Amino acid sequence: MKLPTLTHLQFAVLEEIGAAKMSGRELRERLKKNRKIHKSGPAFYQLMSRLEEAEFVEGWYDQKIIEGQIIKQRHYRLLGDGIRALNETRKFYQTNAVGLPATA
Amino acid sequence: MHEAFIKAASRLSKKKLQELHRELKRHARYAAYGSLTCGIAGLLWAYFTGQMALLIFYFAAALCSSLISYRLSAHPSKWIHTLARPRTLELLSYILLPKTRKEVFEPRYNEILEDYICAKKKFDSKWEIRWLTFWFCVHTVLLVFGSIKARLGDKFIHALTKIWLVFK
Repeated sequence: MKLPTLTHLQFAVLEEIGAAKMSGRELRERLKKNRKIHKSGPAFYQLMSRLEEAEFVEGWYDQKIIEGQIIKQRHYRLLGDGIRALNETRKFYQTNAVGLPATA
Repeated sequence: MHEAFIKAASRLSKKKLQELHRELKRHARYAAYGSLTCGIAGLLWAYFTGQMALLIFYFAAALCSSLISYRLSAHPSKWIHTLARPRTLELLSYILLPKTRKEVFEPRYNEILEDYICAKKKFDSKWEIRWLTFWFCVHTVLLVFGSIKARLGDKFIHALTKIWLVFK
């Protein structure tokens, strides 16, 4: 039995991003609300940095100006390798975990 | 303190103000010389008693206090104002590796900064802004340490556990 390439946390993050483009803040809030995953800011961005390194997601900065101050927001979107890894992991859970509801 | 200083200063005549400024500079310079002398005395004492840790501590403390006092003597009001700026704290992040700063520190820092700016729009009295600035500074400092912890993370803790197991 081949183990999945993603950890359960990475799997949750990638599933939450889905097909959308999402800011880091929005993603954290969704994880907290939908999956009860509470991660501190640095730990979350470290996790995202590892996903970027593995080329599962793409991250970029968007700028906005509030009160004359430039604020940079990190946005993320899923890449091809990420979708592949996500499907692989989903398949693994569906075949090996009895009683787990199908998500796809 | 800075606002109070400006308010009090605006009531004084120009001549009196110059006199006060000169006196402040003189006192700060004396403080710098004083701390340097104390530092050297402590350094000699630590050297002769052979306490290396104390020696390093004395040297660092003396250097810092004399630098701060001397800087204060040059531009007293400007210096206090600069230190109170949140932007100054951003400099702290430069102790991090560039990659860590870009990928871990900066995204979260910008979120905190956004919250801070939005809150400043809402609360505009002197003490409210001070309170917000204080917590913004605390969060920034914690974020720097959090970034170091996140970067070292698992590998560092695993290494420590291995070392602990070897010695155990």
